[in-house]
Amino acid sequence: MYIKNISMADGVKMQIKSLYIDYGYEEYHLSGFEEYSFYAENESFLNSKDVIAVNAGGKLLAMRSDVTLSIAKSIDLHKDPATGKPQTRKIFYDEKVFRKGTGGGINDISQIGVEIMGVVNEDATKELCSLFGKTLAMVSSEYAVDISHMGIIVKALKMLSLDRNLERSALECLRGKNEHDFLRLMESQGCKRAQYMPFLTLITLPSEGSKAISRLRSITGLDISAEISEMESFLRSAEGEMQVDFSIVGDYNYYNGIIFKGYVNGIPKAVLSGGRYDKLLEKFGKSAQAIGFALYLGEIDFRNYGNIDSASYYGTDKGDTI
Amino acid sequence: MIKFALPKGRLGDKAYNFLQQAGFSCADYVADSRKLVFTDPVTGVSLFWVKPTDVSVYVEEGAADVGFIGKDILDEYRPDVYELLDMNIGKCRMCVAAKQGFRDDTSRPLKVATKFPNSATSYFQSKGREVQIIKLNGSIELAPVLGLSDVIFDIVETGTTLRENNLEVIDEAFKISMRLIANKASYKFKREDIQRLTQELKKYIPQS
Repeated sequence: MYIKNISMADGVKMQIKSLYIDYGYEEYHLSGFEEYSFYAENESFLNSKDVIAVNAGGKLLAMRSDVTLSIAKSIDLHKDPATGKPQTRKIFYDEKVFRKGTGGGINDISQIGVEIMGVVNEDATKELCSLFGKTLAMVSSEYAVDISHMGIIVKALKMLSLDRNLERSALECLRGKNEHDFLRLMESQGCKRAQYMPFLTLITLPSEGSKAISRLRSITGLDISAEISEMESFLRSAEGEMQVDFSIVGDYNYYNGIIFKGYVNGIPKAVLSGGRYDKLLEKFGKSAQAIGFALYLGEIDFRNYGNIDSASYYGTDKGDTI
Repeated sequence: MIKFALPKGRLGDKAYNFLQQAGFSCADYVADSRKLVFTDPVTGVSLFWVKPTDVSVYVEEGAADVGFIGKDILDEYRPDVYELLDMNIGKCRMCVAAKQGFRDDTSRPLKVATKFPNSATSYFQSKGREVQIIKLNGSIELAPVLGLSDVIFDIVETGTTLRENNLEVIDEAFKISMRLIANKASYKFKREDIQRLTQELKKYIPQS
């Protein structure tokens, strides 16, 4: 097959979508709008992303600012009558989200991603690991993935016995690898060393997988053995470089397990993020497990990136037809 | 190669002294030069000087891998960066100050003059006090003296300016000092270099 005049961005997108189809994922389409109240009720999941409201015939709508949230709300997860468990659906999407730009305008940002919803067992997790590695490798051969675990973060956070405002401050310190301000916060609250050591360990944890796991195992007073095993299994499934970094923090009302971010050398922000979000489905009355990730195409300048077999998209002869 | 964003001015000079002591000097660097970027392939250092308020932008957007910046600016702009060290210099406080003998009239919003509207808003929100923020760009102390505001939310170093204008500190919001910040993606791909930098710099941080 030969396609003429296709951009590298489109080429990468097509190859990624073809990868997901090969793995048995079905494409999922969404409307560009949600009711404004939907985002208002789930504000913390949006993590300060701006919502753009429009008045359509007296009805207040919002331009879609997050894809996973809309999928979690709209997807049908029927129960298997034989097992009583929800059926597992493997989907991918290629959608835009709309955010306020710094100059006051509206930015539309392309995202492509996958979600596994229903039963997320070890095989599903391994498949997801493989998929995000392959996805990043299509952007660049120089990529890195960091993982964290919301279950461990929440348990260490609860040990601090802080009010919601101060919990936010502690999480900010974790996000920023900010040991000095965290110790000041603990001192100001009269927290005992044994109480804050687990959280401090997360801030100062080495990134290399085996060293990080060993340090996590040395934490006392916190029952996190199941979570550590989950991280170990995830690290074993990695195809490329994967390290541990607890500065990746999601909203604990939605995320409940491993969360991760992917970076590409030369791009200043994470280009991929994802994680386990059973709690989000719970919010929509769906008793099922879920894991997924999104690649932010808007962060990638495809004049410099795109690690695909270009011949299959640009062609090798002088033909001009498909 | 590590790219450094340094704040222009006295604190930036001090930051560069730290770097020299820690072995991250730049042979190419000449003070008071019009050159914008200095590079030393031997030490693997590239540095440039920018407005203090812009350091966080250069680092967050990846034009610099690391930078030195005041906590006042970090708190105001909240960039998505790592805050790796407190350099323990440039120490001062972010305070609420008012005319001597000021009593808060809680029946109406408190008028707050400041150069730091985001920090002020989040501080007063944490106190549950409704405020009207008046954004100024300088001479903040003048605002309560002329009746433009009830209080100011500003940096206090020695308190001399406050005293000379019959103002006094009524609350301290947070302590300020210079911090070392790093771009999150740079940290992944230059982890060893940035960790070596922080380990070396730690040796020269003055004790409180």
